[in-house]
Amino acid sequence: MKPVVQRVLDVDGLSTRLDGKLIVDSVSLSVDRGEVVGVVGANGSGKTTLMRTLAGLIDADSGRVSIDGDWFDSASENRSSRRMRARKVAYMPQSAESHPFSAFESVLMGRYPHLGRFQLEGSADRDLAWRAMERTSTTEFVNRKLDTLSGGERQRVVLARVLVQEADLLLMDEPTASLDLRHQILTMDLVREEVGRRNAGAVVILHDLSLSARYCDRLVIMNEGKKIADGTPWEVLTPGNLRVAFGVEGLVEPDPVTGKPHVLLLGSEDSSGEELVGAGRKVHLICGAGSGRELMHQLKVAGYEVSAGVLGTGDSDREAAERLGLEYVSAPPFATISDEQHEAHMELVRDADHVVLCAMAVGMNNVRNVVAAAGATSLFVIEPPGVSGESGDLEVGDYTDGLASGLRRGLIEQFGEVPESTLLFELARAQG
Amino acid sequence: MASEMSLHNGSERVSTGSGVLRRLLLGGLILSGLTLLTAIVAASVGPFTVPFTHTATTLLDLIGIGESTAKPTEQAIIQSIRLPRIFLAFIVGAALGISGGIMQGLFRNSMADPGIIGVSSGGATGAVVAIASGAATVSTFFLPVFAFIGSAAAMAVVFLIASVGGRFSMATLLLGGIAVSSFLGAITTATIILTDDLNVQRQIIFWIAGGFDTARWESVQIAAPIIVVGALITIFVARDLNLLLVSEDEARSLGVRVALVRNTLLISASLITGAAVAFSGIIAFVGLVVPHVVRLIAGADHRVLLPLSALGGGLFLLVADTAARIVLSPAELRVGVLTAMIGAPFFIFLLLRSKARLL
Amino acid sequence: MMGVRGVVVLMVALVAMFVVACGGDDEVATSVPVEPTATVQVAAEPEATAVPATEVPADVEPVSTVAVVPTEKPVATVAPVATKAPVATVEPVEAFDESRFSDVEGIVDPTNFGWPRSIETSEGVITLDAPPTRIHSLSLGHSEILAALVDFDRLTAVYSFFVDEEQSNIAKLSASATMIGFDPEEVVALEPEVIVASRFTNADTVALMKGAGIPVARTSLENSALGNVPNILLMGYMIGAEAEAIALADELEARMQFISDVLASDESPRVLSVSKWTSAFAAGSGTTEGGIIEQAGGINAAADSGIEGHQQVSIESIAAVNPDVIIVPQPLDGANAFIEELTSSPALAQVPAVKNGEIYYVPPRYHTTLSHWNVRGIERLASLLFPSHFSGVTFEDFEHWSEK
Repeated sequence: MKPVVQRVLDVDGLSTRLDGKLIVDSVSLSVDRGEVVGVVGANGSGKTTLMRTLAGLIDADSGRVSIDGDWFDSASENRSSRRMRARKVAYMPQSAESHPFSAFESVLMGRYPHLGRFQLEGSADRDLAWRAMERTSTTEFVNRKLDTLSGGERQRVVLARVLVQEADLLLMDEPTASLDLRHQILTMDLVREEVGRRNAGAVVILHDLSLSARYCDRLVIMNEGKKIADGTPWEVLTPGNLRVAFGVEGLVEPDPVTGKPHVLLLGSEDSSGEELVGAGRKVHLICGAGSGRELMHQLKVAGYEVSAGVLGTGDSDREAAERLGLEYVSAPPFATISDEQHEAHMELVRDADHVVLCAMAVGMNNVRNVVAAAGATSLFVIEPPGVSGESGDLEVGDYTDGLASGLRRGLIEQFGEVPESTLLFELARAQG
Repeated sequence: MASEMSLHNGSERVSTGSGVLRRLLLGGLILSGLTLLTAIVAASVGPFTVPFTHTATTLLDLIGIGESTAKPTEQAIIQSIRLPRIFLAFIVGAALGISGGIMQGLFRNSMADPGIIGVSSGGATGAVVAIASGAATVSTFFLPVFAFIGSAAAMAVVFLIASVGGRFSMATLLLGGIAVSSFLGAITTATIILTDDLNVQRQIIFWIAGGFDTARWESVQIAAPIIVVGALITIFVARDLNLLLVSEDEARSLGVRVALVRNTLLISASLITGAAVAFSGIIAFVGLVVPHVVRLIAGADHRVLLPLSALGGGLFLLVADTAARIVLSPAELRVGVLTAMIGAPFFIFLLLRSKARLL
Repeated sequence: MMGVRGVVVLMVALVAMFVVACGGDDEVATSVPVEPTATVQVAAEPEATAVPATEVPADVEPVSTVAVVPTEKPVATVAPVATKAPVATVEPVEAFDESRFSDVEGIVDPTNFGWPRSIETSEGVITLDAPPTRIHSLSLGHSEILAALVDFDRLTAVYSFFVDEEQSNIAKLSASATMIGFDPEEVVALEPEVIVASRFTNADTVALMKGAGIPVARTSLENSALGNVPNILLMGYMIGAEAEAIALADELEARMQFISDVLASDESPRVLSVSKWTSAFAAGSGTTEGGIIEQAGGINAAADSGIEGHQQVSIESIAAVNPDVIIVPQPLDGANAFIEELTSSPALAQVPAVKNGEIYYVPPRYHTTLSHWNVRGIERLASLLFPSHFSGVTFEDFEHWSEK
C-alpha cells in the first residue's frame, strides 16, 4: 500500500496553449490534503484553462502535473493512467450539461472509474449516490431527467456526482455559478466538509471573492495566464492585487462574523453609471479603537473621500484606514497627540465638508481629537452604541475625568447627535 | 438511527426504479417474447395458405421436435422463403435500431438516424454502381457487396473530413455527413435520370425503396455475423457512451477514452448499418423511431437502450414486413411504406403522451 | 434532418416506383416523355422466341425477316404454311372508304378530306393546312403507329429507347433516324409542324410545346388491341394517310378475328405475367400484359387473384397464384436469371407452370408497348398457349410504311 502523500497536487511550470495562443503561462502551485485552494481572476485570465489542463482535458504545452505523487505528462489517452487519474481527480465543469439521464443515473456515473467494464453498480454504489444526493439536497428530483431541471439544480446534481467519485483531488470550476445564496453557502460548506472528511484537496474557481476568502485556505490570483499572487486570503486580497487582477477598486475588510476578509468592490473607475452620493465630497472621521472602522467602509463605498485622525499605531481603525488607503494622521501607540499632529489633524478637519466624531473611548492622550472636532463647520456626533434609547452615558469610555464628556456635550448641544446607522442618510440630507 | 433508515429506504426505492439489469431483463424478455410470437405468426401467414398445424410441425421439426406434417411445397415455402425473410427482417431491424441509438447518443440529438454520416447514401451509391455497371446481374451478391463497400467508403470519407487538422469534431462529422449524403444522393439521382436504360432506372428505384422480398438464407448468413459482432462491440462500450452523452469533458474526466470509444461506436454503427442497407435497401424511420421510443419507456442508459433498441428494431421491422406481405396479398407493399405508416402514428402518440405527462 | 430527408427520398422513390411499374402500360410520367422501354441492350435477341424455362433461345433469327415461323413450342414437323394469317393488302393511297372516319372521335368535320383540316384532342382543336411532313412523336406507341402509316423520314426524331430492339418495334428504323435528348428545346429546334403526345406525356412538356406555337395532338393509347383502331384512324386522318390507316385498322381487326375464331371454344389456362426489377412485379387487371393474356385466350392469373395494376409479388405470391403458364416480358438478361430463379425455387416446384416447364420469356416490345404491335404479342401468346390450334400458322410482323 502506497503511503498517503500529503501534497495531493503539485503543478510545476505549467503552460497551455489554445490555438497557438498562450493561455496559461508557467503556473506553479500546490495543494495539500485538507486544503481548499481558490483560484480567482478576471474573465479570460486562464482560470478555466488551467483547471481543464489539471483535469487532463487538454494537453499542457509544457510543465508537469503531479497528482498524489504520480506525475502525468499530458492528457494522453493511456488507459490505465486515464482511469487512475479519474479515481483520484474529480472535475466539476463550469456548466452542468442538460441530458436525458435521470438525476440518480447522473450521480451514479461518478462510480464509473471504480467499476469494471461489465460491472453493474451495486447497492454500495447506489447508497453512496443516494447519500451524496441527500448531502446536496437533490433527492427530491432523484428520478427527474436532467433536461427537466434548472441550471442550479443540475449543478447540484453534478456536485453529488463529484462527491460519489470519492476523489483525492476536487477540481471545481465555479461550482456556485448558477446557485442562489443559500445553495452557494451550502455547496461551499459541503466542499470544505468533503475535503476535511476524506482528507482530500480541492481547487475551486470562484467569482465571489468574499466567498472564496471565506472558504479557501489559500487563494491564487490569475491574471493574463500568470499566477500573480498565492497565499492566504489576507495576504493576497489587497487593493493593489484587486486593481491589477480585476481593474477595480476594492475594499478588503474582516467579515464581522467570520473574521475572514470581506471584499467590497467599488466598481471600476469607468463603470459609474450613476454618480455615487458621496462623490466629490470629503468626510473626516475622528475615531479610534475600532469605533470608525465600519463607517470608513460605508463612506468609502458611498463614494466619499474619507480621511481620519488621529490614529495611534496598532489601533484597528488605523489598520482599516491603511487598508482602505485613506489619508490620516497617525501617532505612536498610546502617545499623547503632539502639537504637530494636532495641527495636521486640524487641517484635515478644516478641509473636510463634514466631520464625524465617533463614539470612541477618549483618554488624555487623544483628548485633542475631541478638541479638533470643535473646529468643524459641519459636525455629526455619533451616539454611543449599546445603550439604546438612553442618553447621559457619555461618561462611558471617558478616561479624562469628564473633560472629554464635557467637550462632547457642548458639541452635541451645538450640532446634535445621530445614531451610527443613520449617519449616511443624515450626510446626504445635509448636502441637499 | 432514524435518518440511517430513511437513507437506506430511499436508496432502495431508487435502485428498484432504475436497476439496469432489471430493466434489461424485463424489456428483453417482453421484446423477445413478442418477437418469437410475431415470428411464428409471420411463418404461418402469407399469400400461400399453409394450415397452422403444418407450419407448427414444420417449425418444431426444424428445432428437432417431432416431424413435419406439411407438404413439400408448404415446407419449402416456410423454410426457404418465409424463414430467411423473417431472420433478415429481424437482424436488419436490430441493426438499424442499435445504430440509430448510437448515433442519437453520439450526436446528442434524438433526430439523428443511422444514415446520418452518409452510410445509407454510400450504400445506395454502391448499389447504383453495381446495377448500372451490370455487376448486379453477374452475381446476386455483387449488389450487397458493392452497397457495403459504398457504405464503408462514405463513412471513411466523412471521417477523414471530420479529422482534418488533427482535431476531430463531431460538428464537422455531422456537416460532412450531410454534404457527402447530398453529393452521393445527387450521383444516384443523376444516374437514374441520365441513364437511357429503363431497366437500370427501375432496379435502382426499387432497390432504394428497400424490402426483404429477395431474402435468402445466404443473405442472412452474410449479414448476420457482421451485425451481431458489430452490435456486441457497441454494447461493450455502451457504458462509455452514457458518459459521452453527458459531455465529452465529463466523460474524459471520469476516465473514458473519448476518441477510442467514439471511433469504435461510429465505425461499428456505420458498418452494421452498411450491412443492413446492403441487404435491404434503405428503410427509413426504424433507426429514428425505435431508439426514441425505447428511451421514452426504458430510459437513456445505453446499457439498456442499445440492446432493447436492437430487439425493438428487429421486432418492429418484422411486424412491418409481415404486414407488408399480407395486407395486399397476394401482392406486397414495400416495407418502407409500412414502417412509416405504422411507425409515424405510434411515434406521434408517444410524443403527445410524454408531453401530456410533463404538462 | 436526415430522417426527414430519408423519408422524402423514400416517398419520391416509391412514387417513382409505382409510376415506373405502371409505366409498363405506357409511357413513364417522369419529366421526360419516356416510353416504358429503354436501354441499348445487346440486340442479339431474336424475334420473339419463347423459351422453355431456362433455355436461352439458340435459334436466333434476324429481326428484319418479315415472315417468321414461330418457334415457341417445337413443332414436330416443319409444317408448310397451311393457313396464312390475314395480312392487309397494300393498295395505292388514293381511294379509301371515307365512311370509316365518320365515327372517329376527334375529327372535327368527318366530311372534309381536303386541306386545311382540323382535329380535336384533349389539347384542343388544331388545324393543319397541308399534310404534315415534319411530325414529332413524344411516345413510342404513337411512333410505332405512325411508322406503319407514313415514311419514317416524316418523323422528325426519335428518343434513345426507340432503338432498343427488345422493347421497341421500330428499333431498326429508329437506328438511322435523328436522336434527341429530353430537352424540350431540342424538339422546338426540329421545327415540327405537329407534335403527337400520349396521356402519359408530362403536362409541362406539352404546355412548353404549345407555348412555342407548335400544335399538339394528345391522344390516349389503349391497352386492348382493338381499342387502338380509332387512334390509328385519327392519326391517319391527321397526317393525310387515310388509306394506310384503314389498311392497318383492317389488318388489326382481321388478325384479332382470326385469333378469336380459332380460340372460340377452348378452356383457358391461367397465365401469370411477371417480371423482376430487383423485386418481382406481376401484371394484374388493367395492364397491357393482362390484356394480351386475355385476348390470347388465357386467364390473367394475377388479376384473378385480385391484383390490380402492376404490383410487387414474392415467390410465395407466385406459388399462391398457382398459374398454369408464366410469361416474363422483360429483356432477356433479366428474364433468364428470373426464370432460373423460378424454376429452381423449391417453393414453386408444385406450381403447374414450373412443374410442366411452362415458363416463357416473351419479347417486351410486344407486351409492354401501346400500339397495334400488341397484336403480335397476342398472336404469339395464343400460339404458345394453344400450339395445336396454330400449328402451321405463320404470323407475320406488321409492316412499316417503308416496307410496303
